[in-house]
Amino acid sequence: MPTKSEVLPSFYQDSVVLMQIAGQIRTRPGVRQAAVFMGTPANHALLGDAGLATQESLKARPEDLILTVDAETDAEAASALAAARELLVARRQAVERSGALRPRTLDSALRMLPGANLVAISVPGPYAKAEAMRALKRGRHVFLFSDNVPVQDEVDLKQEAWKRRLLCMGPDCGTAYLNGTGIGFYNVVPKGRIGCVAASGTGLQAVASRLAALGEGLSHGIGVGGRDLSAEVGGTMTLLALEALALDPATDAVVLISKPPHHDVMLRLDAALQRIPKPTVVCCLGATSPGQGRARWVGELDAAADAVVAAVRGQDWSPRPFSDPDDVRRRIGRLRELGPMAASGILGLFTGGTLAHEAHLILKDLLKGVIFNRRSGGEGICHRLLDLGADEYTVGRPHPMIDPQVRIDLIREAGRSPHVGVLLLDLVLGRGAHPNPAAPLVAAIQQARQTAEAGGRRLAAVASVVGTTLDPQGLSAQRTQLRDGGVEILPTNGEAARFAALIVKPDLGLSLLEARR
Amino acid sequence: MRSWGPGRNVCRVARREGVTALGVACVEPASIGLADVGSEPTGDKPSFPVLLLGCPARRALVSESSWKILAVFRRSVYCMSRRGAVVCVGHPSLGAGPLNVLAALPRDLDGRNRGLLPGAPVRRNGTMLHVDVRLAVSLAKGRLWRPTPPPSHWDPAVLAGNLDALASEIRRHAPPAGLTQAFPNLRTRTPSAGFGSELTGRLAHAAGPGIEALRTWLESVTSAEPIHEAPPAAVASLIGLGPGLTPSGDDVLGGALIALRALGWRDAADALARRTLARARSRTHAISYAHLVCAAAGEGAAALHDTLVALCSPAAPRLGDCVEAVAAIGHSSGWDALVGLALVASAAIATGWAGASCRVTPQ
Repeated sequence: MPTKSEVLPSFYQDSVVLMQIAGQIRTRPGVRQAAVFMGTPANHALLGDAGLATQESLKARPEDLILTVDAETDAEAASALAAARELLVARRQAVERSGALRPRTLDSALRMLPGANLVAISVPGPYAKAEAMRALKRGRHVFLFSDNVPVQDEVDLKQEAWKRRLLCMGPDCGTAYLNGTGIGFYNVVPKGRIGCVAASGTGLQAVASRLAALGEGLSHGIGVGGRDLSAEVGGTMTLLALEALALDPATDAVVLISKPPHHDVMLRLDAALQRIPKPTVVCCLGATSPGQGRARWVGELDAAADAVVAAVRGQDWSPRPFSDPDDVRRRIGRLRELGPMAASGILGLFTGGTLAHEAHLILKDLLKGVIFNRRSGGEGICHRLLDLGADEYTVGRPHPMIDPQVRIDLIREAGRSPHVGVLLLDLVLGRGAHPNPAAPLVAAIQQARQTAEAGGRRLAAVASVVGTTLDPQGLSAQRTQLRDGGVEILPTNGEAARFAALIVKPDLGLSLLEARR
Repeated sequence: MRSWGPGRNVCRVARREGVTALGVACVEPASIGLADVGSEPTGDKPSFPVLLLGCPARRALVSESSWKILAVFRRSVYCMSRRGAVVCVGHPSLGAGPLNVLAALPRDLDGRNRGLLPGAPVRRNGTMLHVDVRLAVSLAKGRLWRPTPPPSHWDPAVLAGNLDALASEIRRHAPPAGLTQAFPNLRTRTPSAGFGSELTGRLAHAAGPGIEALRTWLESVTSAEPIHEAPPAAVASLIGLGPGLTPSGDDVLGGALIALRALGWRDAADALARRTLARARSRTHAISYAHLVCAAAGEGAAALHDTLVALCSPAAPRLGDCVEAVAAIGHSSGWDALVGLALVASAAIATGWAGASCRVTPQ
């Protein structure tokens, strides 16, 4: 009568689980008896009396767990014992394995990987400072994904980083590329010779993707967080990052992406830009150059990429509203053949905050009545742009780049609105984003169109895609889905905004299609 | 969303659940009294307020600050101090008990999936108890729990009637794995695959002499004043015997000790405690030993004390509820403890003892 045992040292398990496992093992083929006991002397005696004691089981101490199986054959006993062990140990091993991969403290992580020079932190905002400060004091750069970090905490962290000549990327830093490694939400782009400093995650993604489309790549993309160029923070990390890229031998040219800096910071920023001995392009959305510096200032994200590529290639470049005006003419003409739009309002629904901001800047120069980030008010013929990544839309749910539901609901609502004639959309691909964002978007657009047509209205959809051919979603596959769903795709976010403006205001045609930016 | 957890929201939800789940009447509204030890930062992890804790747990936490995780379960984490004290930090659904530190933890705490592992350090810093680096509970406003005392007098006929009802509950519902099988009048349905009929029979056989010795001794000491007779050595054979996290024999002894103390049979409780604890230290494991120590002092799970109160009451409409709560303790642990409790109650009936009206003199 083969009896086999195994002892799990210092193994406490809930009684209910122990009995369930014993029951499962007893139902296995050939098993006559199965016991899962703590290794107390009384239980040793009990097992001995039942003929279930083995040399192995006798080694158990009171705090050890004994698995014992009595079966018809050796093989059946061994198999049942293995099953019992697997049932009991699987969870613990899973935890221990995950524990090994996920150290419990920063210090234990550094003991496991002493060569690490960067710490990525994503904890709730109120707790972020302590962890980030700890990392800085251990001489590591910080990528701080957390949002809702108090501004004073950011100031303290960045002063500490500045003192130590370390980068504190963030808080609220969504994207970074360091030496070819992406962190956070990022598009898969080749490593290259252009370095970026960005106070905007989607801004960095848009520029990086455009650079990839133009055949270039990134040396580094350093995120600094949206408040870095504010008066309180003083641009410390932007200045440090620009200095680092200026000295980096792998970087041939530099791009800076941000919102307009505070005027106190602008002077220091301008001085820092003057010191960069490399072609430099600045895109501070909504700001203009403070003087006659070396850096080239542009007004749009794609223009920043285009300008810096031209600079490293020694080519001339000047901005244009559309990269292919003839194609735009044809497409606008085709849309007009369908008849006049019953409604002439643009509803912009963006997952990228910087893309929304950029579209707003473009449209407010072209159209009247453009509202940004206000869901209500301004009834009548007006144009509304919403950043769906803003806090009010993400409370208790994932970012719209991951979960499209908020945007889907608003698109369906637009189908019922007598004011909306054009949907203006972005689609951000890359690591961390929805695995197939075009599919739910197209389905919602088609549903909204059916609703609008039932009401005697037409609804146009215009979009741009931030992504690369290397992204997991597949750039061409996403574009094809959108195109097949009747969405007008433009190469850049800026062009998409202008295209939408052309649809609702045809008399812009001459100025936009012929003019230079 | 950029952050991984709205810990405070989770905490609020859990607190509501905890209050409804507790249902314990006998709480002392005093604070734990650790505030003078010092205060502490919570660091980067969410902290959960302790709602209720047993007196032994409180004493251990006050006297020692350095602990380690002993075992991790779905709703609780057992911690052991350097000097061997044990407390159980867990969700309020565990119910009050002497070792329990019930905090407003998320119902889905599952410490194992949170990466809490046996051996990891546990540290009390002021009023904060840091369980590894993943969990912190605040002891500052925890209320002390004390067991509900049974009535000082009762009618043996009432007790006998209620004991029959308890035996009926055990026969109908107790799982076959534990020591309820060792009692002819409590024997339950056919042993299931969960334990095995052969092992069940052998367990009952192995426990038989110990239980019989305990029953005989209980009846003898209740009819003899003062107590001259120590429990026979056979009683100690129950220690560490049987399946489950806490072996069934330990649970039976624990139930008997709690009942003796609660019903005022102090000398008998002392004698049985001496016999039991002297052997238990080496014959069972740390968690079970800690529960036995509490039982020796007269404290066990709140549900057990509630059952005792119900047994002594003229009309015991809550007996079924109490038994249900006891049954939820482990797989058969609660039922085995009821066996110990029933043994003491049976002895009281057999000897006609009626609580405080009948005293035993000190040894």
